[in-house]
Amino acid sequence: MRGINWLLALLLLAGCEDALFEEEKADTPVTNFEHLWEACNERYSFFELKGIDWDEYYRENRPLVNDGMSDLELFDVLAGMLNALRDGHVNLISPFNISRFDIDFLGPDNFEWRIIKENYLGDDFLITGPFSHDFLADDEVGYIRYSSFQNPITDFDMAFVISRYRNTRGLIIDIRENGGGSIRNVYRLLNRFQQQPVFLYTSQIKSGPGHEDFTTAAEVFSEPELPFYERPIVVLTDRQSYSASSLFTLGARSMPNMTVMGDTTGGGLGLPNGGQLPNGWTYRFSITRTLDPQGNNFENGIPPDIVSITTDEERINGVDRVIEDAIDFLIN
Amino acid sequence: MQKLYLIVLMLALCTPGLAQSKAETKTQKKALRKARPSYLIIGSQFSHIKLRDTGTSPRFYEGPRVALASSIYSEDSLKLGYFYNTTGVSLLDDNGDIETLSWTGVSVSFAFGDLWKLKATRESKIQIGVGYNVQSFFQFRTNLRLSNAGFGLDNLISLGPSVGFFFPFERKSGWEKKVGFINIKAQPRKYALSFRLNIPALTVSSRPEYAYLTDVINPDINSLDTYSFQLGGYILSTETAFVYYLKNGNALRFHYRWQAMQTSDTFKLNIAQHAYGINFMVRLNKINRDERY
Repeated sequence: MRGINWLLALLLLAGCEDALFEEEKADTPVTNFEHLWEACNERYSFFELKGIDWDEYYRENRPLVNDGMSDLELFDVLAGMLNALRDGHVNLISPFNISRFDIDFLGPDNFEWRIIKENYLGDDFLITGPFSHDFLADDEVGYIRYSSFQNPITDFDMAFVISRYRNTRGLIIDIRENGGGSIRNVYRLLNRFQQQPVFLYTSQIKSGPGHEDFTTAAEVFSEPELPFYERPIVVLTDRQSYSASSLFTLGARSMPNMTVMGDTTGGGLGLPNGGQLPNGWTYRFSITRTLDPQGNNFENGIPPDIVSITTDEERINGVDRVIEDAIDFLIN
Repeated sequence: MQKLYLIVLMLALCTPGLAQSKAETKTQKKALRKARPSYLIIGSQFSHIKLRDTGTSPRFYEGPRVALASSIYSEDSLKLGYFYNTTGVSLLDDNGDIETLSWTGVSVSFAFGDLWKLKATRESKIQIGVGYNVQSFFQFRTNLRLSNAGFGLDNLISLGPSVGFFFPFERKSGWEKKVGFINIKAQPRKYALSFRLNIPALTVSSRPEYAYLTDVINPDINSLDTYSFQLGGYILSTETAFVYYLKNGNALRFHYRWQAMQTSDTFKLNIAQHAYGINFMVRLNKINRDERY
């Protein structure tokens, strides 16, 4: 009988993980605030670059949080704090709202697809995979519109457009209002424009709680793939060229045959990463940083080599100033 | 806890001396090993898993895991040896009242070990065995709502002492009862009840680096470079099993396994598993003349 008692006593050991694991954080407005503030403080990439005193935001916002407040009120405080980071890759996601920092309003609207279709491409332009494209300027220039890096580019798509425009004097790649997507597509494009590997940028990942704790810089090169197009290329950008679009623009700046034209990009060169609060809401913010080969951090936007903005008057008259300037640049 | 740890560790180290008779020759040992009843165990395991990866969330995720289980198992009055594997799939959610946020996972676990029964207890009702255990847990999980942290690759391997309590018993004579119109017959039968506790002494795990960047589709970062190996943490486990021997030497085995795991990094991973198994034991070697089922 004593033996059975022993067995029963040992059995009780099983199932006692609650005693071993640290207790789950309570779900209160205060713990949610503290958790989000701390997660950002320890992992966000750009405090120093943006000159943000994150402690100041704690001191400012913590008194606004109390355990009696509603979810909506808490959301407003947390979203306000996150938007101080001025980063399009930062979001707080609740069942009833998603906070965001709108990069669209950092610059003028510099793109209207309808004008391009009506006055430059006509009805017969081709759609190959993610690209809308056709000849411009008496077939001397090829125009390729890529509206989102989320749309996958295949080898066939690349081979087809390069083959079609191989005899032109230059190419226009239009990534205005392209909000980003998969980095894989950045390489699929850049790998086709030089026969030799080109040093594009360096990438670093957050490695500790200090605001400047990063891994050593990893150098990223293009990996050339056939067929090539090595004639001059103009990349059109605006403030809504964000994230993967900015990364593509950063790479384009390093390619000897590519010129960036239009407006400064939206930036967003840090990879965003996600997490969850004690109340179940999720968030994301940047946890890497990307520098150009000279060590410049263009997280806040990559300036064009040639500034070109369409005026309201030109827009009314159906003119896309940026395309006009790009054609002039390539032909003359 | 530390004292218990030390006692069991010492017992495990002294095991060969305590458990093995000096008089046993190599030939005798070989003969014993050959005669030791061995089984192939095939079955299924249904678990309830509780998981928290503080790299991405302070919340526990819970849900079922369904697995196929297979083992090689041998046991007699001197020694128990085993190797088991379970391969399963799980679906865990965070029990939130908002739209379900879930991890889906594929996991494989292995364990093997030997327990030598203490000489002093071999003839007792409850035999005590001490030895070692190696256990591991590998899991790949995804939660696409967590952006570039949406993948998790969990690996834990733990080595440590193990202690077991074995309670073989039997119904020596049959009986017959009539309940209403139904005749209930019970025949002589052998059973075994056992309990095993596996204590971690050395644990190795791999975890994502600080930023928890686990996105495997990003070509400029080698995802494996964002993982690191570390010593520390634990896999603590118990197994309670009941074996019902059949007349032909095969058996049915029912078990309850409990595992608690934790890594040692800054952002800890906690996993607890409560597993219920139903298995069929197929006798692999010949039944000895003196064995009776």
